[in-house]
Amino acid sequence: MLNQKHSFAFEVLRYGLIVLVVSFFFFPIFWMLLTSFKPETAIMVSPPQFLFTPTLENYRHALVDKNFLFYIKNTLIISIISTAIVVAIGSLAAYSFARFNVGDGHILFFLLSTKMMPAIAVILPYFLIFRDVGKTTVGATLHLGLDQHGALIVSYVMFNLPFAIWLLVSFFQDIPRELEHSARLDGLSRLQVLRKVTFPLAAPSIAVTAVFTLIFCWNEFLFAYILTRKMASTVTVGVESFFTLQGILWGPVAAAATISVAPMLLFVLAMQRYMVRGLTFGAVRG
Amino acid sequence: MARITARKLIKRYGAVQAVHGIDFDIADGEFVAILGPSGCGKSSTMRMIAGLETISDGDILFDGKPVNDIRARDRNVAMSFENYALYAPITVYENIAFPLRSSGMDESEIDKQVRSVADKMELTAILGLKPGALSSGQAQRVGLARALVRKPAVFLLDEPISHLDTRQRYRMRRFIKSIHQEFRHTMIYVTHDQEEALALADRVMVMSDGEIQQLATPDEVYSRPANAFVAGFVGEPPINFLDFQSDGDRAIIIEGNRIMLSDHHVSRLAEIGTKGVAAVRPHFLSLGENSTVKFLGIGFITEELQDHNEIFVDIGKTRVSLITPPNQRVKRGEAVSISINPEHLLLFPTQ
Amino acid sequence: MYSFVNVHKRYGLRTVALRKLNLDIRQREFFVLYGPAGAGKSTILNLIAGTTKPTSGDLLRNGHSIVHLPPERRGAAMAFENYALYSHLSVAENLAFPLRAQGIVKAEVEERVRKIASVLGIGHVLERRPGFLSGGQRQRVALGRAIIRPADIYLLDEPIGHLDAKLRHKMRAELKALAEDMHATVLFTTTSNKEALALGDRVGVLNSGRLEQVGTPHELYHKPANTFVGSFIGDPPMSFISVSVEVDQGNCKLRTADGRIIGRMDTPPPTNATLKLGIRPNAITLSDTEMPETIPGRIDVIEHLGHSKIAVISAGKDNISVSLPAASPARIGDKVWMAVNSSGYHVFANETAIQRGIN
Repeated sequence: MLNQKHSFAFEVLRYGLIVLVVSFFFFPIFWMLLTSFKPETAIMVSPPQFLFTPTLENYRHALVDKNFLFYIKNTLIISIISTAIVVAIGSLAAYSFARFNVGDGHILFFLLSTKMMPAIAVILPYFLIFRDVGKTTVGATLHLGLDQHGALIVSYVMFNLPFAIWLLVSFFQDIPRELEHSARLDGLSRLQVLRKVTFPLAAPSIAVTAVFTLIFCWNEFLFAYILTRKMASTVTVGVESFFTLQGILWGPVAAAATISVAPMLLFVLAMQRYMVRGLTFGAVRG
Repeated sequence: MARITARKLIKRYGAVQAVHGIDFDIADGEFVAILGPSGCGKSSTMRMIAGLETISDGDILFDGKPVNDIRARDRNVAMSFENYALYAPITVYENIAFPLRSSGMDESEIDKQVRSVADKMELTAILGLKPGALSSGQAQRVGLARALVRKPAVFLLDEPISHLDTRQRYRMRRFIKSIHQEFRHTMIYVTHDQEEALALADRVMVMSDGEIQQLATPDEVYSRPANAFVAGFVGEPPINFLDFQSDGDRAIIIEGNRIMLSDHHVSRLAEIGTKGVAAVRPHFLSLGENSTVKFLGIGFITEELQDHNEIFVDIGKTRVSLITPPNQRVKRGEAVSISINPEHLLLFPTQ
Repeated sequence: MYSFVNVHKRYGLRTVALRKLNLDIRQREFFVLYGPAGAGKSTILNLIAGTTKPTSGDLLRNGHSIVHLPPERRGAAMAFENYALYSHLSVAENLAFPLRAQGIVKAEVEERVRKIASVLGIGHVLERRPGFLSGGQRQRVALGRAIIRPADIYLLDEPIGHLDAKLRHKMRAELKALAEDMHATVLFTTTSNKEALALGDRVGVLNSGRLEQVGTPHELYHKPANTFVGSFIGDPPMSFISVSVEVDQGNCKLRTADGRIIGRMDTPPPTNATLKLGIRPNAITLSDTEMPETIPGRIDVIEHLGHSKIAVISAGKDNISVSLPAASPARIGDKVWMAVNSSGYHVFANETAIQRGIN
């Protein structure tokens, strides 16, 4: 097997296998897209139909009858604010873990360990907390009650922060300390060093963390389902609302899902180059 | 034991060719150092011999038989790495025994072999330790012992001592040399350090840009380098290069100084043409006017290395270095004469 | 002047980086810290820079403690072993960084960047990012960034240690010239014997966090304080032979294990001390016949070094390195007699140098 020359049959087999695996992953997305343009009668038939007369009826239903853009707006507000908070707190926290070894690793482990329990285990306490906090004056001003944006934002921050910190700690550890030492000797204070050297160097890594956090917030379902009813519901809950007592409206579900997946997909594609660079980023060494 | 031959050996990585069809013959029991700067193709060549890299084109033969399609573990080749590659959780004893266990040898035989090689490598006292407790020199010896215990036909060493300090390097160098004298494996030693290559090898293979520049004994490589690259890469301090122009067919001009050539230089000059570089080792230059051939220069720096001095002088726009006895010095900016015995000039075409 | 007073430095609970360091760095001297990897060289630089603090002891600048000053108020400039270039900034911006940090006006910053870049021969790469430079160019940028602004002390951490041999040779001379021009206090670390001897006004030899000896290159080479310094200064290294002493009417004869006289000393060494002779490779003459006061041996290894050779000769349990000219006919397996040049050896009692007297 040392020679790189392979038989034609081997090459066919190799690429056949690759196509199979790739299509296994992409088929659901493809089918979702297809379904969103299908008339109702063509959706559940067996065997599945690939040829049909496309219709925009599902999109009309989702956007006009169900006002799906309202969910998109909620999701945008909640995801972006949560991500901003996670990145801001996370990068400062991660920096101090990476540089000052705060808590000798124990605090970092404890933080990460909060990710070990399933979300459903803490959902009841969260529900009760937000129900009561929402009734207080402070809670009401900050929109922290049930079915309010603040409640979801706080939950998402709590849930994403440990992972973001864990990710960022290793990024910061990869930036040689000498870069900071050098800047301090040149006369910058600790905070100036952070602003002018460390964070610019860590920018690609921070961007990667932000993307992961944003994706998670965007797709989260459980918290959104329990903590909101109508006013603060996100896209995932919006899609769920198509599961009616009369049955599941598969066409509009597919249309709504397509609409809610599209922004993230475009965003990630746009960031792809940057993310790969961030994941392999390191300062210049000898 | 094995004789190793390469024929038109080529290594490509995608579109980039790293080794450009080289040929060489390494005798059974010979110690050859492959010397070159990083990226010259030396490691690719060694890894093809080991079977860790596929051969893109051409052949490698062990004792005349092609090994292109033989897997690494079936070539009976041992390799020692720069970073030791020891298994941390197990003892030195188990590290050395490891290659034997995977070949299914029985326990008493393994014990015998391990203890025999440990004795030769002066490791008996530390057989019970784990790699974490070893000094870098000891760890390197364990790495060598593990490679040797399989009784390989070919022993490959990839920069095994380049990260040790001077004293340890001297000690390990002698150690490696004595291993070769004792076991007489065919040994191939990859390094970027010209001193190691000269000190250890029977023959040195100087590589650059994927080609063999010269394959010869240390003395030849140093005294009769095949080209300017070899001259510049071998020797410490590095050789001095000075541009020359021919002046008739028996003389050259260097920085305005006319130098008459001896007979063997004359034929060399005919090959090179009107312009080229003259190379001279720092040991063959001296301060003062003690030869017919002298240059005027401006003093730059004197380094007092105690057993000798190393002096840098600018001759025109070229900075040269020379080795002098400890009592000689130049001052910055001082006008000095430098003498040279023209016999020691090496002439090369301009690169 | 910088003074270390009984400085201890530990990392964590176990790792001792420096043991009871007492050291003065004088005004305007080029001081080299020389020792193997992990000896504590970088720790000393970082203590002066203020990027780490001593576990105990004091660090003075002109008599005043600076232990509590933050790095930005230490007045030190440093070039780091891994270069520590800012990969998000161009070479020009990297060089300008220390000046900008001091709030120097733009026109002057540009002027000084241009000047230092031309001194170091990196004027043509000013617009590039460090990722697109060769190793030699990066090293020059790192050096440039350290010396571009006035500082009380320049800390250079193995600045040329990672270059290839040719470039290192060239840069060593350039660095020495540059230091002469700057006429500044420089603290330089290296693992290379040659760099230490070539560059240092004074050299401190470090071993496992302990300062073994401080002195001029001449003192270290000719009067090594102990076997460590003896073996670490000089290339090829000194060899050691175990000897015993025989006192004979105030004249002490040094004998090898098999009883041959190999040297003499005037004053008797401390009793019960383990005695060793340290001999430099160029202090031994070989002959192929026995002569008075020679010791026999067998050539085990011959190493070519281009212009010379080293023969490693076994004599009893000791191995002795001897420098030979490249043309020497000596061969492996030859039986030889070694005569030690009477001024070419050092006597160590329990690893510490003792005076030999005038013999």
